[in-house]
Amino acid sequence: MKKVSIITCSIILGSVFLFTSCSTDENQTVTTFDNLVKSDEFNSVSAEVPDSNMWNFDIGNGAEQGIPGWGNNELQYYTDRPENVIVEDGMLKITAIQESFMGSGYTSARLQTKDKFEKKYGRFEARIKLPWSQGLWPAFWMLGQNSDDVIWPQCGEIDIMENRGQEPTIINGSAHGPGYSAGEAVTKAYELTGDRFDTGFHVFGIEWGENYINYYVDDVLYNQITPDDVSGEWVFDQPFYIILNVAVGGNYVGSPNENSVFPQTMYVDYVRIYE
Amino acid sequence: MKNIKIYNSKVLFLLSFIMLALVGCERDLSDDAVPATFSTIGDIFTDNFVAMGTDFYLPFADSKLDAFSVDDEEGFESSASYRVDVPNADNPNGNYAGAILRVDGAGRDLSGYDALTFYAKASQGVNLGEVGFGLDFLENKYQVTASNLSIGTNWTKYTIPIPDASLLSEERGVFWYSTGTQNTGGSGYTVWFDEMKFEKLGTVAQPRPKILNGQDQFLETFNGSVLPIGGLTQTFNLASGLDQVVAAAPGYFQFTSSNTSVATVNDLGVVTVVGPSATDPDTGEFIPTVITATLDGVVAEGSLSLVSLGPFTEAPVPTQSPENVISLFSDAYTNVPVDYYNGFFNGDGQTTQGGAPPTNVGGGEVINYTNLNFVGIGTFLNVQPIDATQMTHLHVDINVQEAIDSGDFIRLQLLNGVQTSNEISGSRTIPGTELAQNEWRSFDIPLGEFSGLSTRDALGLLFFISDSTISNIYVDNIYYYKEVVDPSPNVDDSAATQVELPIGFESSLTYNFVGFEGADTAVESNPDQSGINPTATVMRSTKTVGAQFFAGTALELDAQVDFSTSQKFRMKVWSPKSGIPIKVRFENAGNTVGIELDSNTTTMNEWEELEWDFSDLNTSASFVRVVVFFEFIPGTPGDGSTYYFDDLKILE
Repeated sequence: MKKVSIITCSIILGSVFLFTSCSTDENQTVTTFDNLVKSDEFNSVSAEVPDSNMWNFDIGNGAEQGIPGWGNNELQYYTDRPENVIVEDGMLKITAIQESFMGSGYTSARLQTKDKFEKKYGRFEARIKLPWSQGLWPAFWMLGQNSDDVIWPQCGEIDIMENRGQEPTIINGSAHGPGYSAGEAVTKAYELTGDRFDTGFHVFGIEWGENYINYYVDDVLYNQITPDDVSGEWVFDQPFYIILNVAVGGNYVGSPNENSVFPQTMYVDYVRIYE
Repeated sequence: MKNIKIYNSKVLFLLSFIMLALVGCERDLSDDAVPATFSTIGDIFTDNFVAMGTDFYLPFADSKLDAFSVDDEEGFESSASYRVDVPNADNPNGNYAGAILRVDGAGRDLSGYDALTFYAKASQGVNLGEVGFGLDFLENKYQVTASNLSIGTNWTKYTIPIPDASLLSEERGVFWYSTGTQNTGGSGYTVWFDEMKFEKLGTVAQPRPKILNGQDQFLETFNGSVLPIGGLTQTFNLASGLDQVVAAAPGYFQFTSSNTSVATVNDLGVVTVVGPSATDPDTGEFIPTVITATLDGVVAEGSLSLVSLGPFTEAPVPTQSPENVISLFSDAYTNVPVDYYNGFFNGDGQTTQGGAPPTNVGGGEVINYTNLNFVGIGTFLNVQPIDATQMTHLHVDINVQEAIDSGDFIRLQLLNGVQTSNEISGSRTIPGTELAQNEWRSFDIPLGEFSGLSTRDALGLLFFISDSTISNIYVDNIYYYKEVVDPSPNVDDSAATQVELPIGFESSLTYNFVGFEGADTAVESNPDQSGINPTATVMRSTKTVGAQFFAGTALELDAQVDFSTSQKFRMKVWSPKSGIPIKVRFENAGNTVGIELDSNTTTMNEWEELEWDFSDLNTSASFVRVVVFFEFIPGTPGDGSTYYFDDLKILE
């Protein structure tokens, strides 16, 4: 049972097409979380590996977890090799490489904080410069801590930021739960004007409290999701853990094409959690 | 006149700037100097032209000059647009539309923008030939070209990125285009442009410059080589997530040579090889000099690694007199126009590179064919085919740049009447044993050795064919020439005891001969005892009306031909036609072995001496018959012409 639930809850970041209305913005709850409780500034000068007190690696192509392609027909094989994930220059760098490796055509990395850092409510933000190119799928997101015990999307999923590499000016913020997941998730796109997400760092975050999740990019609050917006049970009242990854291909983004450029790196300046 | 005016205003501007500077000398150092600035207006055409001045529309000279108009009805969210009516391919006033829009006045400072943008639509879906900016008909220093933009029938916005805007502080060429009907089967169409402007989009990103189209090329060359670096592009990723590639002028790039004592490279990306490459003391191999480039600080993909082998030995200087030469490629002569020195028949499997254009080595031009399998020099598309009927030889100098293996060869092939119903060809193979590595070999090949080439009044292609046995050659001094034969003494065989060469038909012996297939032959009095042949008696051969093209005269010899000291056969001929082939054939008694060659007449109605050089043929058989065919051209029957010949001999 436990294993089955792991498998199912790992099917994440499903394709999203729904765009919610902005009507709740006028009445949204804005709360200030400014007490820093946890952060990784990726400033270590001695160790080039991510802090093992905070981060776990997901390894492989999902087959070992029973979901080859990580549930989304993704093409990459995740490793913990320094080619794919390294802490240097004050940043975490996750690099997607086009190479034949363990039967996959691409390698990349996926880090998560399950059992090491999980938290209910607060402000979760990261400062990131995104990779680019058709078929790249970088994300900063969270899953409920009971993801091992219940079937996804019962555990809940909060996508603070996900991006299609072929849409360099657009990111999406989403919430998945029972009755509103994958293509039916509650989601909203945010588009930069006169700028793009792969040429400089931007802060992606949520303010999450009882009965609301506010999504923001830099200083722009662009969406709020409340129980009124979801068509099923509100499952965002338990601790969640954080995930950072760069996927390649898959249902959400489509495959790389002949114009795609590799390698591609997602640069994470910091991850900070306030309450 | 317009240009002069423009230059004047520029001079005036410079003068005022200098005066400002002079005045500035009297100011305190703490005063802020204000640098000269230019208009930062980005708009070119919105609902009308913006700040372009008066004389800003400059069409290409051979385009349809009036293809442009301002449309007062169509427009993107407006009722005005820049309209281009591309003419049909057969329009006598020009078969394409092309123009530059150049600011009439001082240039603009475009350094604050990152792209030229415009909306466009067309009367039918088309690929717009070329569009861009930076073309000013002056230096064209910062020219940018986007090729084959797909234009649909609805207004769509297009973005042409600026490779490095910081360089465009004073740009007058703000827009240009050139488009024809190559992709529409010759049918004209209309393109509308609107909202033409430079913009700071902020989303033009991920620059990926390239030189040599991103390839890492390797080249062995010599001191004095001049090599332009081509394939210069800049690629950006746009907000749409799609890439836009533009061709970028050399002015956007900063070129670097890894060793300027071997090769230098100038601002235009032209490499000049100035010295020999050193060798690695450990491996003995040459150390390549690498030419690379950056664009706005980004390293361009692609490079040229070259090795200079040192001084280039030029091909021997030709000695033929210019009036006897038709030259395709030689610094020694005035060359006839050619379509190309490499036709790039890639669709037919050609791999050969080079020749377009010829390279310049040590001050002289030479053709370097690389990856050779076959390559053609064309003279049939847009130039006059070559009439070589008066010519006797093809000359070519070849320098092979690699080891020559057994079985290697270069076959020369000539085509006459290319792409006509009368197309014919003839080939002559140069075996590898006659070539040498890194040395020039000169070839003077009698045109008669191109078997099958019965006419040569419209030579359209000269092929070099190696079937990849030899892949890298230098070629120089490609020309046809007329070998002027110094007449040899007349033959006096009046005392001969048997019929054998030399033969002057002056003896009382019985000559055993026959005219065949419609040729009528007799030994007769010389009808024209003038010029080089005053002797009394000659042989006549009349090619009667309707005679076979292979009609001729056979003369039996009482002694076999002695080719032991010379293989050059000479004969005096008298022909009413100039430029026709005369075939001479030697046969053994049973005609089981025969050798034959053509030589063309070069005059008419007078005696001339021609030479048939059998040096390249096997002359070892016992030849006891000589056969002469006049105007041996397949498909050309006899027309009643009467020919004479005399003084048959092997040249001493």
